[in-house]
Amino acid sequence: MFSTVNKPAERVDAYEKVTGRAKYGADLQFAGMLYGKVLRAKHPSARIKSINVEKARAIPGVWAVMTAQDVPCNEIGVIIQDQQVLAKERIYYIGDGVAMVAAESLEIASKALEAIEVEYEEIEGIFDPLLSKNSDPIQPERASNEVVHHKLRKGNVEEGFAGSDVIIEREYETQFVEHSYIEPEAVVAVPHENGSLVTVYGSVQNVFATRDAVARCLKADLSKVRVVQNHIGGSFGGKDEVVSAMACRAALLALKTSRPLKMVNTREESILESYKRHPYKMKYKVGATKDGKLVAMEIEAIADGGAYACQTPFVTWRSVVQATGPYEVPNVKTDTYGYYTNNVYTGAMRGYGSPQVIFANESLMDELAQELGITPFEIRLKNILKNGSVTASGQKLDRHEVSLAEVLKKAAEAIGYEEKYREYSKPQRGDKRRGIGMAISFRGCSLGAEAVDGAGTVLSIQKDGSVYLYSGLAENGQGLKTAFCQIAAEELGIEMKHITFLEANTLISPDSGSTVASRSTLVGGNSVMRAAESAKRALSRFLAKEFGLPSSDLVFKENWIYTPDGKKLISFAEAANKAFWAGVQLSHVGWYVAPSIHWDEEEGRGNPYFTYVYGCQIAEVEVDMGTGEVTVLNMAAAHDVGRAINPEMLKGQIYGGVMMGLGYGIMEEVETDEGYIANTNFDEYIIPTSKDMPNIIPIIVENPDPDGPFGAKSIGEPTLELGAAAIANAIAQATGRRIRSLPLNLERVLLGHPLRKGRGKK
Amino acid sequence: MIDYEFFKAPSLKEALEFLGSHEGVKAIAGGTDLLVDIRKENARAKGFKYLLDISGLKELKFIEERKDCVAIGALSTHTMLVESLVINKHFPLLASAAKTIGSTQIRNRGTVGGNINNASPAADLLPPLIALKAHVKLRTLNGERKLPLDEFLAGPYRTNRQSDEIMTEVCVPLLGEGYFTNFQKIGRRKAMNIARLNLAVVLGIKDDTVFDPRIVPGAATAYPIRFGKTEEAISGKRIGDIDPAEIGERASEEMISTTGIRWSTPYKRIALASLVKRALETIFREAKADE
Ligand SMILES: Cc1cc2nc3c(=O)[nH]c(=O)nc-3n(C[C@H](O)[C@H](O)[C@H](O)COP(=O)(O)OP(=O)(O)OC[C@H]3O[C@@H](n4cnc5c(N)ncnc54)[C@H](O)[C@@H]3O)c2cc1C
Repeated sequence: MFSTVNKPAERVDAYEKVTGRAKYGADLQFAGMLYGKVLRAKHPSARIKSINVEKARAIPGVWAVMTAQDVPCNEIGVIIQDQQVLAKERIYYIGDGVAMVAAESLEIASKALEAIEVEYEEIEGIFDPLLSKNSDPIQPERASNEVVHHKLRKGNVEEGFAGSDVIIEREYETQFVEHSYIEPEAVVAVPHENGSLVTVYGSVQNVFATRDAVARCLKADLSKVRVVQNHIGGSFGGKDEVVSAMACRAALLALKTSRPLKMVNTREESILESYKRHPYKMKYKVGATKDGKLVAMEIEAIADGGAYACQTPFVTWRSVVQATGPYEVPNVKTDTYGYYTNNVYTGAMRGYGSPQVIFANESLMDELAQELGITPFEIRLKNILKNGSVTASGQKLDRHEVSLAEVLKKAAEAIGYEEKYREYSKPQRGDKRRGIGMAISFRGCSLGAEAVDGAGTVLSIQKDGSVYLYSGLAENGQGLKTAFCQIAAEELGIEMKHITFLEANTLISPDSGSTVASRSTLVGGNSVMRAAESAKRALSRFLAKEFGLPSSDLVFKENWIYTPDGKKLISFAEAANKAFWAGVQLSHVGWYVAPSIHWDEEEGRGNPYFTYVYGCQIAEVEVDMGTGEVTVLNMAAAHDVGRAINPEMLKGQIYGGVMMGLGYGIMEEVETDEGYIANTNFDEYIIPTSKDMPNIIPIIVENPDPDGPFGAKSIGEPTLELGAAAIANAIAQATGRRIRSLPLNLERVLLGHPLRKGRGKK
Repeated sequence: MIDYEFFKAPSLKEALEFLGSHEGVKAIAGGTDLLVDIRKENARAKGFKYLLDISGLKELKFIEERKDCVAIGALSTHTMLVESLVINKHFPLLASAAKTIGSTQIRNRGTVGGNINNASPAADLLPPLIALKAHVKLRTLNGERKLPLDEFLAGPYRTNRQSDEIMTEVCVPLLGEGYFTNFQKIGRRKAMNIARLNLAVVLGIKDDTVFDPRIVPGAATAYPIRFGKTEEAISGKRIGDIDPAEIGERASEEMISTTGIRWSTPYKRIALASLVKRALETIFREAKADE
């Protein structure tokens, strides 16, 4: 049916990357380039009494030393502008920058930092969002420490609980985790290049968000600031605000010195400064009938927002929409909150407010099943959303296939769930015990009612028939370039090798918002299709006239163009050439806006997303009862993606997502102690290695969506959100003990509770 | 940032000359401990002026079976231990321990001498080498001395090495008839894994009776030492009369009596008991199979 999409096309950037030719932010060199470095705070909460930079300035080779005084506009942020480019009077967290230098070498820059004298007055900090709730505002200009409160209301929970046969209440908790992109943040700012005030190259997830921040900081027109993305060594949601802050600083130093300036974080700087996944404290109350139908759910989730608002308002919004899990629940009351603290700030990370609530609601389902004496499989089948179901937010699901039963059954079958569940439910002897656990989810695709959801692509056919694409969404390592080239190739009926995807560049690409929310293939892919369609129309009209055809309904395939009745007309390349010399417009912009949706913040209901994806992951584990070691043996992952544009890259997303979920579930944790971060490199911040990788069984389920390009929806985030919950359920079966806080590391598994190192301030 | 000058020693003699005539020299072998400390500006890595690269000294890179011992050159890598037929034949626990170290790259670079001289409480070679009663040889320009490994170690990250000495080899006495060995390790993941706890057990069994037991946990005490009381509890006992679980608990008690209660004790108390139990059960099973 297809010639290019739905096929395992080779990644367009694979060759460049494996041969080492690909240039990343830190690889860039410019004549006369200086190096920038940032002096960071000594305390997580303090007042800056004085900063003396004179000694640093006097060091030979130092070109500039700047502090907050020198920043035209010091507050940036995508949603709420409260993030300091450099700390002005107050230090809000341990990663705050205090001063920065530009020098001829990194060594000189480091020496200069040591020569800066800062006098602090420590202020008692707040490190627990529950304490923060009732404390005086940390930021003096705010009325309270609440960043946001979202609610969702359906039916009447009091009545629901009154009519329930079984009610259980549980509390769950999750931790700070680090994105762990392999490439730390890196940018180069070049002043006055090609008509721009400043150009920033680098490891940027969202070129437009970074451009907006730099322009705001410099008080410059958006059109004067150019941000160009390079190859990016991972992001996972992590190279947004933190890179924007870095870009602002680099731009300031570059303009001050009139020299290109490179800034690259060390791993320690990266872990100290960059935002993390939100830790959540969650209270769940659920009521069900004795035959296992859910009647009511009441949920409160509190997110630690850390020092700055960052993405907290939207992260907690996704949580409020999805907190019940993918179930029909007639009565729901959910509240999610974000509070400021003096911890490291928290923001977007693959999953974006879903892994936390999924850990809770999927643990809860198993606990409820146990209470009711039915299996985890049964309780889910009884309550999952189906075609025509109404979600907790009141949205009727009738525009796409609600495939929860399908993903659940396919994953269960692939891993042999029912048999293993029965086997492992019997009493086990010995030190090594096994368990199998599942988790399912529904996930709203793209931004939802968070923001305007439009994206654009420029597609330009050259006079030799080759094509280039400029997209407003950016490759983040997920394979966007390849997917977009496949979509363009399919639509134009040419081979992918003739299509070049150019890097995202804010002065050429249409502003398409951010590459987030697993929206690119869906929203951006549609814009590629629109651009290709429009180019095709222009060519067809021209050819119909040229060849005197009655219809311009031409068929484009295999590098040729055919008449509607199948006669070979002209090659694509020749057509392009003729069209060019005839003055036909060959550059086209495709623009796509997502179907309309709405959310009533006051009432706490609405149709928050125009479509959803569904997934199920099942983990089989072995637990060492004597040491607390957990081995994840097998993991089945079934995901309905609408249509797999590239099945192999899709599997790559599944493998990677499962591994990140595994790390989140059993080992990863940024250890904070009164705002200080203890583990700032990968010797102590433990992430899974290839040896920890289970046998992963990826299952691609395709129910094409009416609104997706060729039916495609999303895959990036769904793959990560389920793993921790599935593993936790498997561990509970193996050990007979339920652990309600992440990660399920050695101590928690063996003792049932964590141990605090309490190593104090660094 | 730590500033230093870098020298590469072309021969052992020149290395010793350099050490003998300069103050503030640090030797670097594989660098897998030292470079990490230098980057972290760890207090342990401060206060030196010269880095002396000894990694090219081929004469310290060997594994050799002698009359009553196996000599391991200080620059032998972990990979060499893993692959050595001699080691696998005589001291399989040493190969097992080496196999768990870091990753392929770390095992290719990291050396036996580095692991010993860094003297980390969690070093994976220390428990097996102590349990094997290894001796270390230290050379200066003027001479050589040999001392038992457990006397060479002086504390966490501390040894009795003099500043002008280089460790040249480790001598591991051959075990006689009837000895069994076992190595255990717990980590937070399956590779690149600093031991949360490790354990070496070496003991002899004759006529179903334990003799010469040596039990050395790592990452349990300030630095690895033999657990004498636990050893006593099984020495001279028939294996049928030994309850491995009970001995495990004894080892945990011995750990706590040495270290006191620490933040990690609730975990390590149970986990060490499990490791000791497991090691003894494995050895007893092997002994039975040997009959
Ligand atoms: C990622 C990673 C994972 C690791 N995993 C493990 C693990 O699982 N288990 C484990 O035990 N260790 C582990 N290590 C630590 C390290 O690899 C080992 O301890 C290794 O054996 C050190 O050897 P080296 O040659 O690299 O030592 P170096 O770093 O070169 O030296 C270490 C110290 O020993 C001194 N020294 C070295 N050779 C001599 C000599 N011949 N005479 C006198 N002094 C000498 C040096 O001066 C220095 O003080 C790991 C390290 C890393 C970076």
